[in-house]
This record gives sequence, C-alpha cells and structure tokens, in this order.
Amino acid sequence: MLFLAIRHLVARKKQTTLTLLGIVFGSMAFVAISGFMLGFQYFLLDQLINNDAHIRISAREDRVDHEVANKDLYSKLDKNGLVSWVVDPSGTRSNPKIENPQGWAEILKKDPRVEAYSPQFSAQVLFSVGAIAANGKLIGSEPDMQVRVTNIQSYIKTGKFEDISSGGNRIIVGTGLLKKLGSGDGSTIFVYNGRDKPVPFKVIGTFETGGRQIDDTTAFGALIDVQKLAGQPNEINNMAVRLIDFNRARETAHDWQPLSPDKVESWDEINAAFLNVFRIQDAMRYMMIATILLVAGFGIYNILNVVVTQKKKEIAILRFIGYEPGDILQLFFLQGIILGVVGSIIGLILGYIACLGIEQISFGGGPMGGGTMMKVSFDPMIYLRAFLFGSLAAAFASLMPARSAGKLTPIDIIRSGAE
Amino acid sequence: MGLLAKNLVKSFGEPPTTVLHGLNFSIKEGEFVSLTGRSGSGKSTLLYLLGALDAPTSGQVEIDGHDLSTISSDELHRLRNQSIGFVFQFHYLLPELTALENVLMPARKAKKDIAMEKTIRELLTEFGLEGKENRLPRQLSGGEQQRVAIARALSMSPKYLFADEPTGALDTANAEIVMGLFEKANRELGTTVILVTHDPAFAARAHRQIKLVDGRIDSDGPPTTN
Ligand SMILES: Nc1ncnc2c1ncn2[C@@H]1O[C@H](COP(=O)(O)OP(=O)(O)OP(=O)(O)O)[C@@H](O)[C@H]1O
Ligand SMILES: [Mg+2]
Repeated sequence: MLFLAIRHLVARKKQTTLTLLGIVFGSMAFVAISGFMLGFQYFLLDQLINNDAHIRISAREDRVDHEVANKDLYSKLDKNGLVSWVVDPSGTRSNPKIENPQGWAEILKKDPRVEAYSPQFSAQVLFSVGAIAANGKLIGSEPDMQVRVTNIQSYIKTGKFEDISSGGNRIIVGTGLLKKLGSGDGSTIFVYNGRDKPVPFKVIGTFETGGRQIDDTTAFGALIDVQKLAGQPNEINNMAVRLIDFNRARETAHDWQPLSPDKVESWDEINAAFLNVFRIQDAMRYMMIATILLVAGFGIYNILNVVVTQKKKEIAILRFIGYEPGDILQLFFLQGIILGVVGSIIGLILGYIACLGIEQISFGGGPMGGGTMMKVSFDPMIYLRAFLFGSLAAAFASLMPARSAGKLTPIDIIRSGAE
Repeated sequence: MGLLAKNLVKSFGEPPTTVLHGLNFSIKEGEFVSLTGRSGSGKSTLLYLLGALDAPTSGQVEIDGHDLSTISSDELHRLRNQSIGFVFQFHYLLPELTALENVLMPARKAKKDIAMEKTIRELLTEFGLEGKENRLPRQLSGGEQQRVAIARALSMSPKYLFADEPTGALDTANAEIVMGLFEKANRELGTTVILVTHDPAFAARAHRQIKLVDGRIDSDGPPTTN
C-alpha cells in the first residue's frame, strides 16, 4: 500500500505541503530551542562543575542564641533555670574552622571516589589601593593541590598560579577586581581583614573565568599567607574536593556528612537554584513543543479525516477487488507516517542549520563576559527526540482516521454513491 | 458448481421494507444471464448479494458450493480478488493511478503484478487501449475508462463477472464495444456473466433472462424481446 499512499500524497501536493510544514516547524523549533537552551545549560553546568569543587567541606558557622550562650557562660545557673535574657543574644562564633583537617585528609585520601582535594582558607576582606577599596574574597590554598581540584589554571591570563606558593604575600587577582581597584599587574594591593592593620600583597598575575561574580571579587594567595592574615595559623575553613565522577557528588557528600560536624555540600546542592531554573526551562521547552506538535497533529488528523471522506469511492473499489480492511487502514496510516517522518527529517535539517546560525550570534557584556559566541548544543539526543516526537505525533494523529477508513464496508459506499 | 440462491430475502431499514422476497434460482458456470426489471425492482440489491458484496437478511448464497455466510474473511477477500469481477455504471477507477496500474491492482493484491504485467498489457491492447496504458483516468474518455474498468474486472480471469448497467452512461458505439467484450469473455474464457441492463436489445443477447418485478422473479428463461 506504500505505493498508493505515496501516490495519494503526491496527488494533493498543496495539502501535503501544508501538513508537512506543521511537522517541519515543530521539529525544527524543538531542535533550535533545545540546542540553544541546552547549550546554555551545558555551558553553565560545565562552569559549575569545573570551576569549583565537586564537594565543599566547610566549617559550620554556628549561630549563637541564648541556649548556646547559657551553656557556655552560665552553665550552672542555666541548669536551675535561673537565666533569662532581656534581649536574646545573637551572632555567630568568630573564626569558624574545620576542627580536624587531618582527619578529613585521611578520609579523602582513602576514598576511591576522590580524585583530588585542596585545603583552603578563604577570608572575606577589603582590598584597597590608595583611596579605592573593594570587597572581596581571598582564597588561600596550596597551589599544587588547588590546580588539581578546579581548572583555575586554564583561566590564568598573566603570571603563574604556582608562584603564589613561594610565600611572601603574593596574589593572583581576578581581572575585574583589578580593574575596579584601578590597579595593574605587578602593583601592590592592601588587604584588610577587618581588625588588624592592612597588609600589602603583591599582584603577580591575573585570571579571568568569564564569570563576573568570581572575576570581580576574588584573589588567590598562598594558604600560609591567608592564615596569617586572618590570625588563624595552621587552620583551614574549607576543603575543596574533586571527584572522579561528578555525578556521584551528592551521594558521596551524604556519605561523609555524618563523619563530622562540618558542613559537607555537593556542587548540585550548592547550586540548587541554578539547577531549578534549568528544570523550569526544560518544562517550558517541552510545553512549547507539545503545543506545536498538537497543532501539527490536529492538522494531520483533520486533513486525513477529510481525505478519507473524499476517497470513499476508492476505498470501495479496493475492497471489491479483494483488499482487506487492514490494507485500507495501512493506506491512510502510512500517509500519516510518511508526513511525520519526512517532516521530522526536514525539520531536523532546518533545525541544525538554525543552530549553526544561532552559534554565530555573539553576545557582549552580560554575565558570560564580553564577545562570547552563543553556546549551542548539538547533542544527538535532541535530534533523536525531535524525530521521535514528530513521527509519533503524526502516527498518533493518523491512527483514528485510518481506523475509521478501515471500518468502511464496500457495499455501504457503493450504495450511498449510487443514490 | 456455479451460483445458487436459496430463499434469498433482503430487507432494509426500520421498520423493515423487504426488497427481495425469498428468491430461489441457480446459475451454471459459463452462462450469460441478463437481469432486468423496472427501476427499484431490486436488481442491484440481488447482484450485490450474488457477488459477495453484501449479506442477505435471510437465505443463502452459494458460490461453487461455498456458503458465503460461513466462509472466513480471508476466503471472502480471496474470492473477491480472484473469482469475482465487478463492473458498475460509473467506472470506478483510482484517479491517482494510470490505466495500467489500475488494471494491475487486483494482481498487486495477490502479489502477481510483476508476473502479470505483460498479459495485462496485451489485454489493454485487445481492449483498444494501446498507447493509453500510462494515462490517468481523467485523461481518458468515458468509454475508455469503462474499458479499463472491465479489463480490471477480468484481469484475474475470474469465474464470475457481475455488471450493473455497465452501458448506462455510454453512447451506442461504446455500449456496443463493451457488450462485445462481455460476450467475448463469456465465449472464449467461459466467464459466467450476470448483466443488469435496461436495454432490451442487450438483454436479448444473453442465454437467459431473469426478470424481477417488485423483488420477485417474474420470469426466468430464454430472453424475450419486448
Ligand atoms: N440501503 C438501502 N436502504 C434502504 N432501501 C434501499 C437500500 N438499497 C436499496 N434500497 C431500496 O431497495 C429497492 C431496490 O433497490 P435496487 O437498487 O436494488 O433497485 P434497482 O432495481 O437496481 O433499480 P435501478 O434500476 O434504479 O438501479 C429500492 O426501492 C431502494 O429504494
Ligand atoms: Mg440498480
């Protein structure tokens, strides 16, 4: 029946083209929108996964409330219930730190899921050059360990990341931060911890990740220098961990959490808000495509219904020369399938071309930095899905008209035609 | 063998109006029978019952000893494909297919279309359609279309050919050609022909004439000329 189905489609070129357009447009939109959205998502995910630790172990910043205060200050009186506060005490413990870094190091060294880890001390500080000041974060680490945990190495613009280790208050600064301070490579920046006298650090290099929230605020220094600056020698408040498989971050973090009071968070927990946005984007994408395909499907359904009515006489002919109900069903079902498959394939090709076009669009400024090209995903799954959705929508839409055509009996058609 | 009608009753609608009132007769293989009667007398209805297109309200039709009410649907489709040919007043052709493809459709169903193409081309030539095999129905005259339809009905060399006023829409010359084709098939291939016609001259050319009046057999025998 394939031969007759094709003849039918070719005989009504206009209708066929119009129906085809619906499916073409649907699958093309899916490919283009998915390519664009997923490209963006993969780009961000890549940044989330590779620019930061997969798991971050950090010191708990304990809140101080009256219970904690009573226990620490008035434990005897508190037992007798004699302590009451006019205004409840509030605040956090100063100098949070990881209590047992050696213990963590043992755990991390033994766990086969761990690829690398890096103890850190990061401090909220004020950077200043002359009269200009900017808030930011100074991350102290052992550079040789740090480079194995994140890909900071690949973002270095000038200088060498390893050189901060030689001690003596050397830092690598984000390009944005340096610009804000009106300063340059090789200059000296004063770093103020909020309590003591500002300490001079020498800028020995710059980095640029493309992420503004990092580039405008962050500087890297040697672990020992930052510890000294914060007045907490030999202490760390962070442990950045890279896993062999980032997908196992959540499960691994949950395994470790009970081992210590420190906070253990996986990258997807830290970035839950981002990932939620992705989920909403995905839902929107599927809704959009469902709408387009629904319309296209209705088009096929309508047209096939009309065609079945128009072709009753021919159905009768086929039946009285010995064709079976199943053959008739096939005749019309195949037309739907052909429309779906051909339409999807054309849609995929056009969608691919559209993606190539989108890729050429550059977007300046923005949170991704300047002059970046649009990120588009060419994931084969997108194309497979678009093809399946298009074909299935068409198959589904043509099933009912085809079945009704199969049910017609030759005699009813001949009689109604004769009268 | 041949066709057998036993107590054939057909009624339509609710309340039922009976169109055929218990007909009994048989048609032998190789006969040429004309079926006549006034409009509304039940000729077409009877033809569809005999040709396995419709089922009687009661009674039986047997083709070659097979009761049509008890055969499987596979057998029914094979019967329609290989043993029965139908020709109607209005040439029922598939408009998207050429004359040759139309005639090959029954063979295609039986998966013999490639093997039979040569025979079918010869048939079309014999029917005066040489050089028009690849035309679409709308590029053919009414008479030519009817010849294509007859070629299709005869393409599988069926034992039985049913024709419902096949000359009704044709001029005398074309009607004569069509009548000639039926007679030739009957004479040379032994095809059993059952022909519904309003034309007394054509009816008279059959071996036997069955005349219906209000759904009953009024006369059955050698053709009369009136
Ligand atoms: N599907 C149907 N429903 C109801 N009545 C029907 C149906 N088919 C046929 N009839 C009736 O049965 C009677 C016989 O119809 P039939 O078509 O067999 O007549 P006919 O002899 O072929 O007439 P004509 O020479 O005009 O073709 C008519 O009265 C017709 O109205
Ligand atoms: Mg009739």
